[in-house]
Amino acid sequence: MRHTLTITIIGILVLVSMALVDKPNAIPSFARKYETSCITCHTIFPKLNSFGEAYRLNGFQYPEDDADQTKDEPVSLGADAYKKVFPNAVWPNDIPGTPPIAIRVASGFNYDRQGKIKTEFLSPSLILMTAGTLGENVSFYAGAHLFEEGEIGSIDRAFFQISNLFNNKLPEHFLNLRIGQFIPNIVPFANHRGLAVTPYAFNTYSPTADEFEAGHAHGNESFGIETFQLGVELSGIASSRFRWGAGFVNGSGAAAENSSAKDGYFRAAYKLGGMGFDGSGGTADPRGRNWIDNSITLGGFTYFGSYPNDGLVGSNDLSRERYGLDFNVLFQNTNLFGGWIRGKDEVVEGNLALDKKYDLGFVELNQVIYPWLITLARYERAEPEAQQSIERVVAGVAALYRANIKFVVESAVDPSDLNFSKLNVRLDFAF
Amino acid sequence: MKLIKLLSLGLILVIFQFASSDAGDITGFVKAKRSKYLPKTVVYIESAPGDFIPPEKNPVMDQLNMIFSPHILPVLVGTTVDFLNSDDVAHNVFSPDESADKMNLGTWPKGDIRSFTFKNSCEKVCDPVLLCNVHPEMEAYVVVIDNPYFSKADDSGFFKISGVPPGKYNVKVWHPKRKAEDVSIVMPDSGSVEIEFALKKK
Repeated sequence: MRHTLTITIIGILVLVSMALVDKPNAIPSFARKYETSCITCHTIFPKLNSFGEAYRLNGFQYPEDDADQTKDEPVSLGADAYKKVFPNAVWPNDIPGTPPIAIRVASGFNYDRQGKIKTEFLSPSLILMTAGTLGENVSFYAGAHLFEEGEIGSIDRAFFQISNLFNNKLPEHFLNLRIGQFIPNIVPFANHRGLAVTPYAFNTYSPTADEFEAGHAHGNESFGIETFQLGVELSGIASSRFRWGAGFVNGSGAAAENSSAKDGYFRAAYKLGGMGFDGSGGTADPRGRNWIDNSITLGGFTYFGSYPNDGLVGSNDLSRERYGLDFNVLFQNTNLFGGWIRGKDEVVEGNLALDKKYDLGFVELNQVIYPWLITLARYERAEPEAQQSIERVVAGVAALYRANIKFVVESAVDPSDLNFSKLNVRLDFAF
Repeated sequence: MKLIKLLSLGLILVIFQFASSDAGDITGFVKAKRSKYLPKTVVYIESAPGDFIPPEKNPVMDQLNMIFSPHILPVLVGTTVDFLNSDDVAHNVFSPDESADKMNLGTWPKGDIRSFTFKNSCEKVCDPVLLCNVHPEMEAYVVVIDNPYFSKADDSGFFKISGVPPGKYNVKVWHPKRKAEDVSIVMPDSGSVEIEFALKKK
């Protein structure tokens, strides 16, 4: 009965969303708002180009004059001049003219030449996304995996953001506030904005594991820097080129707080050349290739926190630390990026509390062959202390069939046994 | 016969005098990235010599379908505007701006009119915003100008300021959210002047 009700509600949501569609695009609520293609902000979705990144950082607003670009006129909840009446009236804002709902559907097929089951069609996943602005400098995002691997899913990210705080005193873009469940702003290359099916071990690896995590780091799974976290975060951009972010989160993923202290993190990055983080500067490519943004970005981050001590040694929470450096080079049709992370988790083994340390590095090359075709090659290596190192090579190709429909074909293998016996194929579309 | 000649000469002189002080038009287009900005633009002369008398018939700003109509009303300083409520629901009109004496006309039902005289003369332009405290989304502007040489652009951005006497002028643009560079002109003894404005973000 409960499942029937859930399916009915989801069905209605899907039908409502389909009824609202007039053009197919990437996060289609944004595409509908601006009446623009997804390739305004993406190369092959969900990978963002530099403009898309500036749009995201600016709280889902065009870096320059969002109102000028908005085609789907918002509904006013108060005339702008009511700002003059405040505090004797509610501060004015507006809501999207069209409900900003989007659906993303992914399905797949796996081939394993050496496996007992050689071929497998995968259960599709269905993601419901809603994102937009609630007036100037107020934005939101909520996404839910409605179905994933045949199971009823869960909310992934759901946050509220106020951008350009105190912009009458501080420079524009300098201070933003985010509250809710989100991926901490330390993650330089998020899985859900990458081309590959195989997630970045950089984001998901745990020193207690003896192999790379296979799936996306959802709320209650083992810790990774990309785990959804509940908390509050400040971020901003200074002088167009410097970007920072800092926050406090429960550290327990999407689950209830389970340690006595909050986890904290900080990240800073600097971009040389190309378009600034705020969307300013840069040179438009004369041939309109909007993925070209010749630049180098260098970043560094730290995360420190604690998690519950379920062992018999002591009663204090166990500590967790991460430090990392990353780089991102864009040159013409080539994007080379990577990072190094050092982690230390305090774990209980027997009657001892030990530090488990690891180093992990990766590098990935994306090459635009055509605007609709990008190849990818990635190498990842983890070196857990006192354990054997783990390596992985991911090679594949992502192709747009249409601006909002893509295929990914890739293989992830151990480079010591370069036997591309496994193949992942994904079909992904959004509307 | 001599009298007729004198009268004819006098008539020619009067006609010549009238023609020499003929006023011209300032016409042109306002341009913007989005056409939605165009009809909210007022083009006006910054200052013009002379004493100007407000119109005897009051302009009307209606409240219909919970929208002020017109949304933007340019008037000569000293003009009294009649605020009509054509809706089935009650409306209010107030302004938080000093330039409109922070007026509040109260709340009144369908069919009634309340009036207000915009008498604050400014060196530049007064642009009091009008709000309705019953319906917070309602907003309008009365653009108070100290001379009668102004024009509101139409949907295509076209404007025409008629009857401008010869002389040097600074022509300006008023818009609630945009701005444009002033244009200096010399109005000739006869003929018209064409100018253009480009709206950009304030």
